[in-house]
Amino acid sequence: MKNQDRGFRIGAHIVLMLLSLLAILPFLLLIIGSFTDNAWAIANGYSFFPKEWSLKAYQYIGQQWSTIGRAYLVTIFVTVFGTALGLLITSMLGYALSRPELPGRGIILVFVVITMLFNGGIVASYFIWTQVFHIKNTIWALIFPNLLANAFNIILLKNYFENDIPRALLESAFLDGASELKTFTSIVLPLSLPILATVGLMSALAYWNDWTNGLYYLSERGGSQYYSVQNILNSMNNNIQFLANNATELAKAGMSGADLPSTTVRMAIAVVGIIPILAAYPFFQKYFVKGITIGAVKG
Amino acid sequence: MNKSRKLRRYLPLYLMALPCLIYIFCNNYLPMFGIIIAFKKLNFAKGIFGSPWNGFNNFKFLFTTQDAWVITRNTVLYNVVFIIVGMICSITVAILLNEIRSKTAGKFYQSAILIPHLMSWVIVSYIAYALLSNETGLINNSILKSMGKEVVNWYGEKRYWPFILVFVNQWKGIGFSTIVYLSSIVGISQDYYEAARIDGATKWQQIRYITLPLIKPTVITLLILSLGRIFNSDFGLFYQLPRNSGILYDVTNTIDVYVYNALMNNNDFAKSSAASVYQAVVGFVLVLTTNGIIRKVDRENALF
Amino acid sequence: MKRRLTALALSAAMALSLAACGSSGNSTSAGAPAQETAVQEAPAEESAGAQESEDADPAAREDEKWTGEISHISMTYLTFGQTPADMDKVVAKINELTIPKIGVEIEFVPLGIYDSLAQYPLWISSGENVDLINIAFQDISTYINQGLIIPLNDIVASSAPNISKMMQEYPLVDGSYKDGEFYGISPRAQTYGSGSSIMIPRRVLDSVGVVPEEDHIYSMEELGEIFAKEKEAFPDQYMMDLVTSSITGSRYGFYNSGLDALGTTNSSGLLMGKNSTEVKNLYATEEYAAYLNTIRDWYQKGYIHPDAATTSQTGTEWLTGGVALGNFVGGEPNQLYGAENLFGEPCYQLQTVEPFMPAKASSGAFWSIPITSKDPEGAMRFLDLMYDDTGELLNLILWGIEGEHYVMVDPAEDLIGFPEGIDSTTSGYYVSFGFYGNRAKEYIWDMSSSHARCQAYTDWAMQNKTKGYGFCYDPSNYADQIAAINAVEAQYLPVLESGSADPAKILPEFLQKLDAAGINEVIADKQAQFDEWLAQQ
Repeated sequence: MKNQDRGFRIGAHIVLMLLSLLAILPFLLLIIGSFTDNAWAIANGYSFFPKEWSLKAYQYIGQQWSTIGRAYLVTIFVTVFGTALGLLITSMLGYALSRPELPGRGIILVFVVITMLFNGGIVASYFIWTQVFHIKNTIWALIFPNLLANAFNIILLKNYFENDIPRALLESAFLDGASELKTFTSIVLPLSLPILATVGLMSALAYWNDWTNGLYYLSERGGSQYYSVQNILNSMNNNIQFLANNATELAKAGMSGADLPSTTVRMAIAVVGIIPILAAYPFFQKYFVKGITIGAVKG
Repeated sequence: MNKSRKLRRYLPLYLMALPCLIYIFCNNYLPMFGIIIAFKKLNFAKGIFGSPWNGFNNFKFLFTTQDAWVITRNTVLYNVVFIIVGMICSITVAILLNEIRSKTAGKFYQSAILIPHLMSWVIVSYIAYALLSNETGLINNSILKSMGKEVVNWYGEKRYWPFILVFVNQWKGIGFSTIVYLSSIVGISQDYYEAARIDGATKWQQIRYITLPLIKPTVITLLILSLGRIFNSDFGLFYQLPRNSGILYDVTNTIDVYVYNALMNNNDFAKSSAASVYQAVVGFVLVLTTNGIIRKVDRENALF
Repeated sequence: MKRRLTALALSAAMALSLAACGSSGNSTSAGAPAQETAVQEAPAEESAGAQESEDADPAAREDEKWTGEISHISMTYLTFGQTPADMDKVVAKINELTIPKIGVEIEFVPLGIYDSLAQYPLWISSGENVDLINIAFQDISTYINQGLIIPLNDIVASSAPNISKMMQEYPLVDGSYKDGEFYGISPRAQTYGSGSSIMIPRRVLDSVGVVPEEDHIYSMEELGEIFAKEKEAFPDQYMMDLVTSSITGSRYGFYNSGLDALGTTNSSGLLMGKNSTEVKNLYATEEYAAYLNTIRDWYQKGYIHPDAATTSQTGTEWLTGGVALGNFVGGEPNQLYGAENLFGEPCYQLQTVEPFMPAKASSGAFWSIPITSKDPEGAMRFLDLMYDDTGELLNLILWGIEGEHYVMVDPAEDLIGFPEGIDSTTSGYYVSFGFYGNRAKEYIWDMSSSHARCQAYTDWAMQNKTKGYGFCYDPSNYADQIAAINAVEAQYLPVLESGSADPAKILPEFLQKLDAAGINEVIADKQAQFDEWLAQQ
């Protein structure tokens, strides 16, 4: 029996190792690409063993370091605040919906699911957020539109609360006279760390990677102090692409695109965007620990 | 009397639900007036509501193409394959991850397989291009040539692409979807496994009779939700990754790619709105149907 | 949805920006700081002011000062993502000029050009106030059809004397008409006319013993011979910067003169040859099949990069990275300076198409007034001043303050340069979008774009007006078919026009799909509209 378990475990290690390699090797190519000499990369493609190395791509990004530094602060604030607030309201709704006896539950669920399918489009969203709620050029522009809560997360939480929290626990709490809120905070939430970590991670990733809100709701004049890292990186990316496509026009004005590390800078931008979230990931992982002590609570 | 007692009993739950419902109302429902754009001959000078109605004319361009069948077929088939393969792969990986005892190793694997999810499609397409291109591609130049094999014109051969697309889609998405299943697996009480072990159940039996049945609700929920998006396709995957190579269109062209190509010269809100309404309606019908069937068969697990 | 719209918008930009030198092989040079000799072709009264430097006292020329109410106008100011450090300084200087003169206090709304694609429609549709927008690298018809901008006929007539005068002579508003009203005003270009040319470094042609003749029109056959010699001497490099992002329309026009899509794109048919009045489906012609065969041949001989149809790199990257040795651009003389900057070495310009005047001669960029403007009349006053005959406002917006951001090198030619110790990276104000007003008054940075050379080019093109000159097709009744045709083109053009697929196999498939998408109905409609217009002439 033990042997069989060990065999299974070794097999698991091998498979996961292979999967990790599949994921890491391209990432390595990306990192090496960002350190490759631009002209060499254009002529020879990206390689694990480039013949010419260069730091130019990072120097180019570094030119805007003062803005990027502040943008990191903005991003961190938005990510932390947005994730926390989102997680709070999402899990409260998920908890309410996890109770099969709640009158009107079906209707609320349909109300929630519809939002996964239908949307009014950007024109209408923009109108509502700017003309009704006036969030343009405020920090809320990065937090509220689209990202705070979504149907998928609500349903994930609802499912977990419904299926993985023993009913008996809730009932005994109510018998002891605990209120809904008290039960929710002191029994349900502590038992739901894996799903909270999951939803929190998804939400944090969404906040971290988002650049559309900044694009739409922050303007150069008046809102640029709230640009997030992805706003800046993304705008850099787009403008480099634009420059590259229109270099002839610019060159006519005496501006040469020749020394712009166009190809490699895209790689560097991706690296700069990915590394911090990768560094923050272990924070979430500790909640995926096996065998959350439901048994212990029961006992 | 009864009613008010009921209300008192559930009032706290409703109050807890309220903030998020308000948010959804503001963020998702208020802008839904935008859907009527799909049925309007849009003229902002008259306002969205004041613009003349245009019936279903904005939807026409979706069907004027001879490829209407091909793009629908591709979109649906790929989605079906993605859903099935995705489910099998991510559940497998989640179970394997759950077996890893070493915390460091577990964290390492999890972080590693999440990396592709963090890359944008544009970057993925660059990496794929670095591997697949004719002139400088690593596969042709470093692997196939050194093995003495014929080089492959990857962007010119249709037959490879269904596999490439499925593979890359899994590669990019697995880290993320695994987490969802993993959270549900780690939520399973250890007591069940203890008991099973005492009864002498093998690993496979434990998986078959404990893990899988207990994550079934999650599986069904995710299935229903993904069916809702069966007419949507990941634009980055189908457009960026094959680098818009026309030769591959039979196997890479999807509804979203078509909409993009048809409208790219013209930022036409009405038509693009029509396309997304079309996708949503099909998705909505599918979600209702599936949920209805599941409700008949297995009431417990229906979404609503 | 959001992402897709952005993507849509971006690609629209790419398409249009490249269409400038791609779709029918002619460039409209929307960004160059060259200027034409005002003395040569401008109305007589202009010549007095033509030679004056920009700091001459405006009041001395204008008999009246502004006495009415001051308008506060906001105007979009497109950048490549970074707002120039000295923008406010320049704006202050501009206001010193415009407040007393035309009663306008201007405010620039800086905006990355990429961002403008997504932002304009949102701003306007949700009622945000902006008075003057620059629709560049995107299609103005979207704005017209969706009612985002106002018609300008009346307002130009009442408050824009410079524009009114100039549009008699130059196609400033072509391409922005709907139902007899125009909605946009494009800059007065330095050169008019469509042509195309290939730039090749002198070093390369010298080493293979090719001596290019100026003003000779090189045929595909002759180019093929030159490419063969080049390939022999430079076997690892490719002869042109042909990449997938440069195939947004057919590149047939890079080798053939007189193609006129009558204000729209090839997807609705075009006139072939300056004397033609027949709207044809380019792709179904024998000439096109022959052209594809030549391209296929070039591809197989290694003149075209094997990955041209799928590369993630841009043509520019290939030029600066030494992958490609030839740069296909418009035929204008001022293209040379740009190419030399890209290659970093002197180049020859080989004309491949005789310049001609097609139906749509205006550049792709338009100035328009959104429906949300509170003071369209004031906005127009400001815009109009950009078109005056002094070039004062124009050069102030474009190049900043003299002495600080540039110095005059040769006043007779309006040639400028950087002040000592300053270059394009350290200058506090260096934007080079040539969107502003009367570009014949722009200061230039290099003599290859001299007034005389630009004028000679325009004169040459003017001799070759197509039969469609002045006409603009309205495709709105066939928008669905055109959308479907666009999708077919997006699928087939990159592989066909890069030579990476065998035309014998792929072309028939392409043609069949175009038929199915309804290209013939659209062409018939275009022909009918064109015939009607011809009859009225």
